[in-house]
Amino acid sequence: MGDIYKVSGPLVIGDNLDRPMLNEIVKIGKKNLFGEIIRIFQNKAMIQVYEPTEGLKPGDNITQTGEMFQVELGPGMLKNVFDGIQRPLEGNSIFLEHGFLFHSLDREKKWDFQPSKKIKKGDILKGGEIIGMIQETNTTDHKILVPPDIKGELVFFEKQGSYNVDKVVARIKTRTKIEDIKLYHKWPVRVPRPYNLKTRPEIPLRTGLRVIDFFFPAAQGGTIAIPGGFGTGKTQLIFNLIKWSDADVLIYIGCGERGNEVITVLEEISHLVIKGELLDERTIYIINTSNMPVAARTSGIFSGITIAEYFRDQGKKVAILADSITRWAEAMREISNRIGDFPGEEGYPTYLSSEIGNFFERAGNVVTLSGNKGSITTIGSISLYGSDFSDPVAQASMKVASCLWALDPNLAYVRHYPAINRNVSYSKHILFLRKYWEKYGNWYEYYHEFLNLFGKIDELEKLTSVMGKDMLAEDDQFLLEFNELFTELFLKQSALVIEDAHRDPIEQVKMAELLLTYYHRGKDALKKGISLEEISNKEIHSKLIKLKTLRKNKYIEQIDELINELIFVKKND
Amino acid sequence: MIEHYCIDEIKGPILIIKGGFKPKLGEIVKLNLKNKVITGQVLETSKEVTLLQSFQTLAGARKSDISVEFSGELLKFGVSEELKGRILNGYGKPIDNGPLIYGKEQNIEGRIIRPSRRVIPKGIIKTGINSIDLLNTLIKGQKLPIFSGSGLSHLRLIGEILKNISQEDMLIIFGGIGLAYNDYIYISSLLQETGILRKAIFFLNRAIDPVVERIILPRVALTTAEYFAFEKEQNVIVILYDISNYADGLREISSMRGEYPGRMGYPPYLYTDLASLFERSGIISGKKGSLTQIPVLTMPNDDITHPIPDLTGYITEGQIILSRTLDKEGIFPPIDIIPSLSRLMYHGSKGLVREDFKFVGDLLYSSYSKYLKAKKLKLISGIDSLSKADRKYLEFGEFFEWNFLNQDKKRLMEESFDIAWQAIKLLPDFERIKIPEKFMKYMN
Repeated sequence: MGDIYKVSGPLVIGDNLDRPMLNEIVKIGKKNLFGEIIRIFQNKAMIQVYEPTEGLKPGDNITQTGEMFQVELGPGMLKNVFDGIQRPLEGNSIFLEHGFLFHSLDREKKWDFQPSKKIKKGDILKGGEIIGMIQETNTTDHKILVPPDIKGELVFFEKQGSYNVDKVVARIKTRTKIEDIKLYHKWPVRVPRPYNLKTRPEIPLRTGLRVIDFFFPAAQGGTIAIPGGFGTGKTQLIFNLIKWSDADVLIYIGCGERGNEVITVLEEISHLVIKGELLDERTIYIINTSNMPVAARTSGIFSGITIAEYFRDQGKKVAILADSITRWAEAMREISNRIGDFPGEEGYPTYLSSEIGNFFERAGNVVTLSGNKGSITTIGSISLYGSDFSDPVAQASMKVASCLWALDPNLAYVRHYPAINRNVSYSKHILFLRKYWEKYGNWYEYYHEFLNLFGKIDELEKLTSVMGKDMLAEDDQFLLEFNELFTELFLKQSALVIEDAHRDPIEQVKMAELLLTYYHRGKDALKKGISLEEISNKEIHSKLIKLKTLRKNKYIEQIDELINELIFVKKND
Repeated sequence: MIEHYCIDEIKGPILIIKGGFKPKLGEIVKLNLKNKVITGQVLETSKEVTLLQSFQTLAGARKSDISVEFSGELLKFGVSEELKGRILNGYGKPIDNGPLIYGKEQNIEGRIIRPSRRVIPKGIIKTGINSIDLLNTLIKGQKLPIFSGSGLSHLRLIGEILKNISQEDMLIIFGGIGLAYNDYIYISSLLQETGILRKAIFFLNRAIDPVVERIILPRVALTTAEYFAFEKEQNVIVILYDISNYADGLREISSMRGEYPGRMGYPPYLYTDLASLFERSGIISGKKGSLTQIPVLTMPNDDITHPIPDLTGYITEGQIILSRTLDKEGIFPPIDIIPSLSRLMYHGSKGLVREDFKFVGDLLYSSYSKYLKAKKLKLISGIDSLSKADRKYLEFGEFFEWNFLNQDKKRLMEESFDIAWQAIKLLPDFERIKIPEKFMKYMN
């Protein structure tokens, strides 16, 4: 048993340890605080403590566990709230309790285990193979897997029945010994779980937000970075993604954010019904608010991605939302500064970029070890320092992200939501997703046409900010007025106007068609000598604006009607 | 208790001692000087070296003069009902010539509220200020800072808010951190003239008081606030002024400790440290009380990207920003609504406000920003270059600034709505077509 040499903030230096291991978990002091060895030097080790260190003193005991930090993977995670080290956060006391004595998964709860009919005693099983199933919640089944690192002959296979997670449901004879397979297994969070191969993305992660789905679509299995200054609506956007993204399992990581925000997420999601199903039934929450110990903030991200990989290995579509990557990076910075690492850019550790890469790169579409298709889509928000994109965390994330949804404070200030800046944002998945959109009409064509218009609009806006609109040619004036309408009807989308909060691809394409039709016909009419007032008038605008509050069928019906109706004729013809 | 004469280094308020005393992290120590006894605290502890901070100045002390006594206790503050109406320093000692207060001892670091025991903040706190109540509503349990600049009228605004809030069912806890003499005088006279103190507790630390006290003050104030909010179940509002002085104090001590500096020399844990203060607010399920915070800070050089406002903005639920331009024009309160925001206003006011609340807010925001654009255009190329609509926005904006933003007395919500609709009437057609049928009645 070792003891404490020094305590400084969240860091403890351990003394007299027995062959300490990098990333080994230790228990510290009388309260058995949870710590992890992060540096080894001479006969001492640097330990980051995942709990408040106040009251610890030199000489207090340190007990080694001989294990790296692992998460427990099995039934009982869905609908549950954990902290960064997978300690259940639900409880009655007002204030958090600390210490080592916890199980991540409920040991008492019984689950109905359905053994797989495809396997029988005597079969040779590989890691990752499905041996049975549990209906964990109303919406989500949970496949029981052979742990990825075990391979051998099935020598015992339990019958159907109601068991707790500790129950041995199978035994596998490996080359060296007989392994007990329980309803759960552990996996170290730092080690990516293996898969067969990665495949290219093809299906979009639909958000229902026009500006995203239409202009910056993300693919399932993609990586999305959402940078923005404070007040730009990052959390609101993440919230929207939780609500609408069509994933089988959602993992929400509240990393270093506000307590009141977290409870809003928890309460709203647990009551939210999407397409007749309670969203809570397929969601896992990992929460480390900004006032919880800083070291646990660094581990929550990896706990989350490991749990995501576990569900991916069951053949599911998983979306993981980390809010925010910056708080995680800052926690790393805080720890690395305390260790005395030589600082890199903005004081962040030099390994910042590789750590961010380690997280994002664990996303993707895979063929699992058992031959199924699974995917992880990773979404991370980035709290920009003073809305500046040269921020090291943003830069490191942009290196690996396949989509960037940049939030703009100037849009948010004028209540333009989602405040996505269309000049900075990008998606690298446009070509991959073209095929999917084909069934909804001419998305690809409209998409390019709009890009073309954006260029012109931006130029004109620069010009008018200096010399006013009246100096412009009539068709340029029309384009600017069109842009206002387009902004109102397409780019802006309030989460609070329920009918408009979520639009399917077909509705988005229809709206694009209507707007482009209006623009082209208007431009032609101008050429024929019809005045701008006639084309861009209050009556037409208010008809268009009213579309916002219509539900899907009525929305499409009205759009089709308007497309037929919008014909400008010279009055004296 | 054993005394130790063993000071190795003195660096400002920081003391380094060698020898294996093995105190606890955060333990309270007594520093016996020749002619006085002062309190200190363990900042870092190891088998060989202990780092202490002294709560009072060590000026005039020799290494050999100081002996250290370890208490074995962590820093605590005694909370009780008797604190009401009192003025104390940053360590919680009375400075109003009143009797000493003995209360229930609490660890001042506070404990972490279990996220799942929180309740989404709900209920409006009426500040009587138009641009807050209608456009950036303060919600019970929220933390909503005021970002100001040096020389702006933030103290007058705080004074108005305090006067108005003291008429509601609220206990005010004011934490003055590193107050310059002028501010101190202003606050003292506010207390004398208004009778706020009957419903308040004041913790005051002046610029000439020790830096360490600045770090302790908000913790003592919040410990008191938690007691009244979560044990006595009252509605409590904490005003901390000025957080910039707090952060500067933290930087001073950090550099004395020899820690690596982060952005602009502030310690890399500034975010975590500020969060450990601001997160001590909210509402807890099963308790009737609420703890609301208004941290006030002056942005160095009016720079909102400076680490102090930047990090604060990421922790708090919105921000109220004061504008030098409006202040110069003579508009009070000079709240720049465009970058101001209250994140909890819609959720927290559900069912408590008029139906047109959100609509009016959104319309005023987007129209006011168009007014600002038109105003800029007018400056560059003259009124002739403005379109008809732009001229309408100008008319709207000027009315809005002078009649809505500007106010010389407390306004009720209903009055704020009336002025808002008067302004809306001045808007051009493109904005007015957005008005839903059901709100047309307000146009008459």
